[in-house]
Amino acid sequence: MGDPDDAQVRASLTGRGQRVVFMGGEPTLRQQLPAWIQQARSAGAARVVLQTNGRRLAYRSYAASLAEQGLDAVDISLQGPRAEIHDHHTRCPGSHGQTVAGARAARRCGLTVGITCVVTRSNFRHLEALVRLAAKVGAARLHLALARPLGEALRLAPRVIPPPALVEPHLQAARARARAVGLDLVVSPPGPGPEPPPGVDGEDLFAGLGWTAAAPEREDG
Amino acid sequence: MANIGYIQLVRHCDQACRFCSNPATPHVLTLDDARAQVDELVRRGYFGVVLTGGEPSLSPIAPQVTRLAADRGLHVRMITNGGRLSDAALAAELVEQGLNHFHLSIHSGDAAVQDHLTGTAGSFHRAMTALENLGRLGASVDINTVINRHNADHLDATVRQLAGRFPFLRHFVWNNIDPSIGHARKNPDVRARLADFELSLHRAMAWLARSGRTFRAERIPLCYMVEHAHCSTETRKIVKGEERIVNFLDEKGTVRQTDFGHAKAAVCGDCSLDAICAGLYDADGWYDADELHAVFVSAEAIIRAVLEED
Repeated sequence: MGDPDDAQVRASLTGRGQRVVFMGGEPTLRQQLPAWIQQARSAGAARVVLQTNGRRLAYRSYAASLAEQGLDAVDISLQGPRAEIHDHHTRCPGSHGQTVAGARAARRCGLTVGITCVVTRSNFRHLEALVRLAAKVGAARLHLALARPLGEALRLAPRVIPPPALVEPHLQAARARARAVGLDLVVSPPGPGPEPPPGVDGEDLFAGLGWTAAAPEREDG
Repeated sequence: MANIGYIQLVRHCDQACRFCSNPATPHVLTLDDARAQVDELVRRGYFGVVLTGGEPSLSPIAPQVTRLAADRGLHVRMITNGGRLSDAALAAELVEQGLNHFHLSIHSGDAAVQDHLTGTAGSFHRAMTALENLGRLGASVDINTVINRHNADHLDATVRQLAGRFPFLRHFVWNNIDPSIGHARKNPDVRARLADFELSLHRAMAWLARSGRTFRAERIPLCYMVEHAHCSTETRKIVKGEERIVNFLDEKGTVRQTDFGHAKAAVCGDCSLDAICAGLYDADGWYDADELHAVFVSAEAIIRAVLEED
């Protein structure tokens, strides 16, 4: 299926009170994105969210333009706390630095920032460190999505999906660290324990999250 | 460095293991040949020698080879299925000749699984009797287990059971099967994927470590044993620059192994353990490079652990 054209996107942005989530692929590659955000806001959207790899947000002026058009929040994909881990997953050298810079720029522009990490064999030992990084960039919520045998992960399941029993101690450490630093942490699928907030289903990371919950950005390193 | 050589005394066996990688040949070792092989290990400054086979306890010269190797200063061990050592007199004779370190091949704590894997009814109970005999004699005994589909889900239960019944067992060795040679080729039901045994192996290793015991694992890429990577046989040899000599009783003859590397996948280039990992054995056969994945833990910490445990 190809990318929707401008008219198709605009036709879907008419509902007052709707929750609008721009997702991809990578939606920041579409030149019309600021205009679509503005249309969604003008039409009375209750919330406008962008799922992104965050790299283009590293350009402060771009992040600012999205905020000015009415974007509320960004759900940024970050696959590890260190460059070698994240860049291995994205197969894009340098992407970690750009994504982290994008998250910081988004916060500076007043956007609520959430971070989503797909938990794989290659990053599950670093979840606690990821919590620290997410808190440091001022994220309001960290979403750890356990890899499932879908899409590319189905073909490469043995290489991608870790045994849940090996992941669990690292999830526990991440939860403890999140409590310590005051970061909202959700895991999907949730497994045993409390149900996640409604709507954390891969579409809107910010469902159930009060807009005032965003932690202030920390400049201490 | 503590290099260890291997001498095959015979290639016949009183069991018929479904995954045997050294199946029977007509050859048996003579005492003269054994003496020459021992001399070569001594000349190279080796620490010890492992008597193996086939089933080496079937060799009538096993006590003499033990004595001559021990007299030359080598630490002598034997890899055995334990069947004949259920005879207390033979066990005592070997110990008396200087053989006081045995590797007993036990692949499952479930007697039915062990007997199925060895193709020999009663093999589990004879191995248990051998352990009782060797325990009474004060010998050191390690457990050798070949990882395969039939024991992949209970490696942890096996070590807990054996160490519980025989507390003098302090060291366990796992060898992943040679999936494409020997008997495994004609018994494909024994072949397991790496992910099939990963969790039970992890639990077994964690339990042994908590109990203060040691262990080694061979032919398992480090991405499947990250938490205990310093116990990889190949990694330890890579880190310490060790070699080994194996004297086969077949067309391979004497093999001096100094390279412990197997195949790598493209993702290994990103892995922090690439330099100390042997990679994937039989990558062009049963295994698939897609089973490998990069990890990002400290190689330096693993190297330190190897050197500290030496």
